[in-house]
Amino acid sequence: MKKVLIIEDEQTLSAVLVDKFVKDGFEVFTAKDGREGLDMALKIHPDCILLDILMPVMDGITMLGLLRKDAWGKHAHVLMLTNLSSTEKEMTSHALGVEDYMIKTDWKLEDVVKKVREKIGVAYE
Amino acid sequence: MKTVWRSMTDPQTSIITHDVVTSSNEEKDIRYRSLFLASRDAVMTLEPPDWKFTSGNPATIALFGTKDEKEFLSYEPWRLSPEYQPDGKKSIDKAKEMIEKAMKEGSNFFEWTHRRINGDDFYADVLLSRVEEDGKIFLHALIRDISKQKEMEKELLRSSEEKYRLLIEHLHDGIFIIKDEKIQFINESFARMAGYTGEDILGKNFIGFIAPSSKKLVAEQYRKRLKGEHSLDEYEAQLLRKDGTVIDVLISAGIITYQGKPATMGIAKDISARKKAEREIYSLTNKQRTILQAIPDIIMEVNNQKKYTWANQPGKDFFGEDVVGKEVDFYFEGEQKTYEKVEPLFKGSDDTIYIESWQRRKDGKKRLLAWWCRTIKDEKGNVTGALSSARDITEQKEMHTLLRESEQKLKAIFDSSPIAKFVIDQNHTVTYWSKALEELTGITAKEIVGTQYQWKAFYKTERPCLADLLIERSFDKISQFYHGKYRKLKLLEDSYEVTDFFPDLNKNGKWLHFTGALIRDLNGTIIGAEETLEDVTEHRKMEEKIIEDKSKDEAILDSIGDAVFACDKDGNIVLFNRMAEQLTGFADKEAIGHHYSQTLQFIKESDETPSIDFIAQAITENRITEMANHTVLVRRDGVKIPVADSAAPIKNVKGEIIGCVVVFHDVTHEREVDKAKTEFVSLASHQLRTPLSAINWYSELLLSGDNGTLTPKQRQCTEGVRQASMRMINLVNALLNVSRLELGTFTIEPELVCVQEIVKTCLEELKPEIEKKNLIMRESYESDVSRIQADPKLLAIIFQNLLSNAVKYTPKNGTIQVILGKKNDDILISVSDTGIGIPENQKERIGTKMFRADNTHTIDPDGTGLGIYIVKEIVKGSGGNFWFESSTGESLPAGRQGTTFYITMPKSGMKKKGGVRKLI
Repeated sequence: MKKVLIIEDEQTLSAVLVDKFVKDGFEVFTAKDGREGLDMALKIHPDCILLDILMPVMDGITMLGLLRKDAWGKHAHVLMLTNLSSTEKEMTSHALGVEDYMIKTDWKLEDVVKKVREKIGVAYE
Repeated sequence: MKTVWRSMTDPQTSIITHDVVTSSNEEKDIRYRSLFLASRDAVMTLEPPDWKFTSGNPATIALFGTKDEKEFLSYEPWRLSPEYQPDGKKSIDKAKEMIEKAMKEGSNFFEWTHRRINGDDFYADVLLSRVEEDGKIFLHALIRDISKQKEMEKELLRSSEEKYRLLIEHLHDGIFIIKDEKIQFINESFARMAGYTGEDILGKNFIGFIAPSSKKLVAEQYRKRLKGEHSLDEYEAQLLRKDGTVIDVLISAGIITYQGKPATMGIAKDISARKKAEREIYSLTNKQRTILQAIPDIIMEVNNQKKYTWANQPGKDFFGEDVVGKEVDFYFEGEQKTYEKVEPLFKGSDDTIYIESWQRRKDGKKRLLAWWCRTIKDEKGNVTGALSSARDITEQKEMHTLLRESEQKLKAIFDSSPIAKFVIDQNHTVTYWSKALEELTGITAKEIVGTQYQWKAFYKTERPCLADLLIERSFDKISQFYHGKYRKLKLLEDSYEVTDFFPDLNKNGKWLHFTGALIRDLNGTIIGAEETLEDVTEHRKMEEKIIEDKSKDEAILDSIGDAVFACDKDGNIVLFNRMAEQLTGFADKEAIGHHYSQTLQFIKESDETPSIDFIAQAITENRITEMANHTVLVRRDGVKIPVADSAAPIKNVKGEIIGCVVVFHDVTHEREVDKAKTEFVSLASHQLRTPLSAINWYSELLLSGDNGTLTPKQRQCTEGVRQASMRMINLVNALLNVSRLELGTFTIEPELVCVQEIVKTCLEELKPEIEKKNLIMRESYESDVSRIQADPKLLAIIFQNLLSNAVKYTPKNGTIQVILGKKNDDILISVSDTGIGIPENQKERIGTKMFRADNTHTIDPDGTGLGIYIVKEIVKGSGGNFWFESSTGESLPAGRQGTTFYITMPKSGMKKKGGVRKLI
């Protein structure tokens, strides 16, 4: 089973994402801030990370930067999943090796899952 | 006949004498014999060759103290004397001398010191007489003992010596006696003068007490006097005092016998006070002489006899070294008249007489000298002579003549000039008054030249003119008299320019503009001042009118809250109001006359490149242009102020563009408010999205059936929820876009895009709606512009908005047309529909934020009112233009109802623009 790490401070959103991914056959891990997310990522080495930006303790961009410093983290699959429209943040995350900057309200849940599968190269079961 | 002589001591003793031959002789003999015997004086005879005494009367015997005559007759005179006489001669030699003299001359009277038998010496007067008798020659001697006399004399001398001593001691002058070059005696006064005590001086060589300066002289005089050569009766010398100082004395000396020997006795009179005074006078005179010598002018002194008694070196250089002693007339040849002018001096006049006269210099050349002469008087007031100083003014006079000639020439030139001008000399006397000035003031040159009435030409009451103030160098008074009306000229030193009103000229007064300057000669000396004047009354009136008008305009302009400046065609500022001064930090004086780029720095906020095209555009394109969004004015101190507004061309009466007026204002506050708004909106959008995502996703889950199948009704409800949230999401997105558009911080990243494709994508999204309404879509793309440089995202937004509007507001069976073509040099895009149109009275507000025309609400109550605004901002921000034509069909013939939105952009497409955020 593929592991997916959801780093999201908003409980309701986190819950619905977890629901979907579990239903879709993923092993799902969650973290409620960047710090927790980083620790968890380095511990469990998920196949994909869904990363929010605006979070307490440590924001997503900072976490991403730190993650990329890690030998494993350097190549981890990360998708930004945020409601913040910012060219600046988009560019920064792109520079940190994130190809996808997704605005939550613009994406259907099932499309998010599709994207993740694409990313980790798993065809639909 | 023998005569018997009786001795004095014993009248009875007879002396054998020769007999008397005759009776008369006998008588004589007896007479002589009684005399001989009775005389109290010692009488004796002596005979050659050995000169022994041959007889002696009793007085003689008694005098010498011999036993008797017999003993006496054994002696010669010298044996009855000491070995030496007082004068140092041997008695025997001197006696023989005396005897010889008596024999030769018949008699000899002299002083002699004899010695008695008992050895006592005594002074005696001796008279030797030659006697001839019977062919025999012998000497008859009479000896008188003068010891007593001598005693008395000594006594007298002693007492008078005493008197002299007292006198000498108390004499104020110094007395000294020098014998054998040694000081034998000095009195009290001398000791005092010399500063020595008796012990120090007595016995010492006198030369040691003479100051070195006088040693030679004093020694010489001393020697000369002793030798008996001609010496000075009195002379000045300096003594050397004990303390080393010198004292001036007047010495008069003579030879005396001191203690039997020749010595010098002198009186030394203290003349130090006199000498000091003399020296002071001498140095004073010397000083005066030096001063007089140093003066370059010729200084000469003449006495009452009109002879030159003194000349300083320049005087000697001019007249010759031999001038002193010459008569004054000698040098005034041919100048009698001038010479006469000096006469009053010798009569006692106290005036300084000034004359100019030609005189011959020692080299023969004639020179013009200016003389200043004064009398010299003594203490009593009597004229003793005259003192004059002279200066060679030959060249000066020549120059004056030349100047006068050129002055005439200049005057001639000036007279023909139309410039009103007058000149005054150092004494404020008018020397020149031009013709033009005559006309201006109504005063002729004849009336005023030579007078000091220049003020009368300009003022009712006397006061200095500018030229007068310049001569006086009263520069502070210039600012007093002409306060606020004058200016110091930079080109000429000490020259001023004034514009002032003269109420007393003419009926209503005149405005005069005049320049005053000092006139200097070649050496730089001020010789006068001039004023050049111009009647500017008419000019002034016009100026005043303009100023008046200007003030009105300025007042208006200044009261406007906006900054206003105007420039001419070349961009030079001609107007600059107060607000402009405030915003730019430049004073209007600094801005006016210069190109606007020097004081107005408009830049783009984003990249700080200049943003002044709008000004030039207004001029060249003859239209009102707007400042680009987010234009920033850089103030003088570097502070950046966001500004907004527009430029408009200024046309003259002919309709030609002569400049441009720009109005702008500080939008900082507005911007801040806006910024706050948009930031709030950004944040709010983000916050709004969060729950919206939840709603969306939960709805999605529900609808997906993963959590159980929904009943159709449940599905319907859920769908409703989802749609509503979708709308919310759209609104939030739109709000976000607007905020970005406001800030001007959105990016434009042009790339070669195919417009057709973007339109296609948009239409895809609207397909359901289009099919539902059965709308006809028409597209037309001109081939050469089908691909343009544009930001695909922005272009998409444009079409999305326009097309969704078109679709929304066009009723069933309507037509929507998209045309891509050209307009002049621009790309033209138009989206037209046959929809409801925009009401006439609301056309202006279309495109303003959140405005929706009234007729839209029934069709779409949920419209944001942001769509057209967004399109407009995007198009404007990317360098294009946006406008529309519309009709609601109420006024125009039916069938023309509908709206067409036009977009133009340069052939080069959208301009690339960096920004902070991309638009959604």
